[in-house]
Amino acid sequence: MRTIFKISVFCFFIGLLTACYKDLGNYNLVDNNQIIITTVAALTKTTVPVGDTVIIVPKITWRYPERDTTSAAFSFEWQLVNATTSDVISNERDLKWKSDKVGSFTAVLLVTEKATGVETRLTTTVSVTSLYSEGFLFLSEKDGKPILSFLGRITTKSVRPKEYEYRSYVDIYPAGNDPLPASARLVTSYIVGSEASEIMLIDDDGCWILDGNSLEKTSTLRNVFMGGGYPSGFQPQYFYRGGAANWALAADGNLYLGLLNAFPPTDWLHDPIMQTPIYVSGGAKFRYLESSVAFYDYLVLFDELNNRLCFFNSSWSSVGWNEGQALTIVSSSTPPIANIAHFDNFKFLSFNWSGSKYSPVYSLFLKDQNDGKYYYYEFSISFDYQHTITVTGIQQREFEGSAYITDNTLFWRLDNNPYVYFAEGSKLYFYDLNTRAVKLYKDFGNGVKITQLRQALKDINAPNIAVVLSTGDFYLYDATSAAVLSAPDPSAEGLIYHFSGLGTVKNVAWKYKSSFSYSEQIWSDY
Amino acid sequence: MNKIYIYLLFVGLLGAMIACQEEEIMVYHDVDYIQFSKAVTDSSTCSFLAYPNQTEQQFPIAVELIGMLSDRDREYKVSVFADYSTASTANYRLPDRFVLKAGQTKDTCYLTAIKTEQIGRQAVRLTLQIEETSDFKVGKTEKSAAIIYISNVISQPDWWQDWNFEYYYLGTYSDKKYRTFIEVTGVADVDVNDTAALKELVIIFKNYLKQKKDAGETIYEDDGTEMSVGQGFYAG
Repeated sequence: MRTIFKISVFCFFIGLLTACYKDLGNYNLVDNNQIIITTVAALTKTTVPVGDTVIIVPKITWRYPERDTTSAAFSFEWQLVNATTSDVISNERDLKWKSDKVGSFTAVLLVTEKATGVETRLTTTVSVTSLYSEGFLFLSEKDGKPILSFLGRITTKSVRPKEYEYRSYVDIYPAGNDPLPASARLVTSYIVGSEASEIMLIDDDGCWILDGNSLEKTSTLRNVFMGGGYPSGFQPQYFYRGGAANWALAADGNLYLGLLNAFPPTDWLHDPIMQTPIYVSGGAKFRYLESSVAFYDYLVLFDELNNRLCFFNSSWSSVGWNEGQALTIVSSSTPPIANIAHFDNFKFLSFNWSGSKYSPVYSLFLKDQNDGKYYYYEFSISFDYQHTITVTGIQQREFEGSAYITDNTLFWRLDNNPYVYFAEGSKLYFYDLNTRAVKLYKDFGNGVKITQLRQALKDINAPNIAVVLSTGDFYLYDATSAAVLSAPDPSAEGLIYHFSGLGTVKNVAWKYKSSFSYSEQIWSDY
Repeated sequence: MNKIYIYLLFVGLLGAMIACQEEEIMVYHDVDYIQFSKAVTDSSTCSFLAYPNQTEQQFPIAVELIGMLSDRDREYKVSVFADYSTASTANYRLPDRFVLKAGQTKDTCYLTAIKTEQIGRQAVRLTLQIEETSDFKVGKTEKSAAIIYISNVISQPDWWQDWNFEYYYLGTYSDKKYRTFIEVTGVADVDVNDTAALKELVIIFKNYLKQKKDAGETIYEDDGTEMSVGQGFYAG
C-alpha cells in the first residue's frame, strides 16, 4: 500500500515537472520567397455599377525573382467576403468578376507558393453600386402611365479632371410593385445617409418615398407628418430637404417645418413634420422653385403674397442647429435697384443659386412692370448664423437678351462660370456675363419646346447644361469650353449625351448617390 | 509519513474535482413591479387656465411595468400620500384600482381634477404613491410617487425653471408669458422629453407673437420688453 502511495505521489510530481518542459521544436527551415502583392491602379476597377466587371490586377514582387515566378509555381485563389459569406470566385491571377449584387465586399487574393505551401494574401475592398446611384432622374408619362427613367453617371476616372460615362435606363421602376401614382408631377431626390438616398414623388395624394437604390416604396410624405397624417386641408406642392430642417410646401402656399436629428438625415421617426405651418412676418404664400435649397444650408422661396424672396436657414453653425428659421433680410438697395425683400414694381421671373458653398451667388431675372424691361439681377449674402442675412454684391443690369425672352423663359446660371443659359420655345441660348453677349447654342426646330433646363454637376468648375424637350428627348451639352462656345454651332461640338424615348417629361432632378459624393461635389472647388 | 502522502494525494484530487464543478446559472423568480414613468422630482401641473369653461378635467398619469409581460389583466393601485399633499378630496377623484392590460408594458391612469375656488387662489399639491397589490410590487423608490399641482393660478412650473429650457424653448419666464402660452396652445404642462411636440408648441406660440405684431398689437412683457421665445430657438 505504501508503495502505491509513493508511486502515485511520484507520478503526480512528474506530471507537474513535464508541464514546465520547454519544447525546443524540430522544424524544417524554408527559405521563403517572400512575395509582396499590390495592385496595378491603372488596370484595376474596384467600384462598378451592378452588372459590370470588377477587375483587379495584382502586382507581385518576389524576394527571389530568379526563381520560377510563373503561374506554374504559384496557385491563386480569389475569395469574395462579406459579413456572412465567403465565396471563391476565381483561380486566375487577375480577377475579372461580373458583379451581380449591390454592396460592399472584401476581395481576398491568396497566393500560394506550390513548392513550399507558403501563402500570401492581398485584401482590397470592392464596391458594387446601384445602376441608379447618381445622375438625372426623370419622371414622365409614357404610353398613358407614369414612369421613372434614369441617366446614370459613372465615374471612369476619379483623379481630377474626372471623366464620366453616361448610361440611360427607361422605365426603371421595378415591375410587380404597386403602380406609380398617376398624379405624380414632380420628383425630388435627397441624401439620407453616407451611402443612401431617397426619392420622393410629389402627387395629389400621399407622395411616395422610394429607396434611392432599390426604388422600392418605403414610406410616404403623409406618414412623416406628426401623428402620421397631413394637417387638415393639406395638399402637397413640394418637399425640400435641408441640413438641419426639412419643409413640406402646401398647395395653398403654407410651409410646414420638420426638424432633423442629424446630418445627413437618417431617421424619419425622429424628424417628423409639424402639423402647424410656420408664420413669416407679413404673412406669405410660397411658390415652388426648383433651385431652392443651396447646399442644404438655406431654403429660398418666392412669396407671391408680398412679391419677395424669403430665406430659411437650415445650416449648422457654432451656435447650434439652425432649424429652418425664417431670416430677416437686410438689403440696402433702393430704386431703381430691386430689393429682394420687396420687389415692388418688379415682377419676379426666375431664381437659381450658383457658385460654391461658401460663396453662393443668387441669380434672378426680373421684369420692370412699369416699362416692360427685363433685368438680370444677382447678389450674395452674409449672415450672422442666427436671425439675419445681409444682401451683398448686388448687380442689376438690363438684360441684353431681352429681345429673345418672355415672362415664361427658362433660365439657369451655371456654377462658378459667367454663363446664363436660357431657353425660349425651341431655342437654347447662352448669355456671357462678362462680354454681355448672347449667342444661340441650339435651335431644336419648329414644334419643339424646351421644357426644362438643369445643370449637371461635373467638376464644379465645368458644369454641363441639360435640356429636356417636349418630344421626350434629353440632351446634355458642354456648357463652358471655349472651343465649344466659340464654334458656329456649339451644339454640334458640345453634345455629351442624347437620351430619347422618355415620353412626356414632367420633371427631372439630379440624384446624388450618397453624402460622400455630395460632399465631394460641394467641396470640389476648394 | 503515510499520512503526509495520503494528505497530498487527497488535496491534489480535491483540487482537480473542484476545478471541474459546474456552476449553475441563477434563476430569478417572477416578481413584477410597477412604477410611475416620471421620477418624483419631475412634477406635473394640472392647470385649468387652458380650460376656463371646464369644472373638471381628466389628468393623465403614465405608469410602466418593470418585469415580465402577462397574458392576463393585472391590477395596480395608486393612492394619495396625504402627509405630502395639500389637496383635499374636494380637489380630485381617484379610482381605487387601475388595470394594466394583458401584454402591455405601459398604462395611463387618469385622475379627475376638480376646479374649486381654492385652486383659483393657490395651487394645491397632490402627491400620489404606488401601492403594492397581489399583482405588483412597488417599483423604484424615485418613481414610486408623483407630485401633481392642481391649479387655476399662474405660477412658474418646474419644467420652466431649467436654464436650457429658457434658452432653447420659451425664453425667460413671466406669468404673463405663461398665461399667453396656455391661451394660445391650450397646453399648461409640457413633456420636455418630447422635443418634437415641444418645438411645435413653441412654433405655435412664436407664430402667434409674430401675427400679433403684424396686426399692430405687439405683446409686451410687464417690464416693457417685447415678448419672445428663447434666444436659442432657431426654428420657424
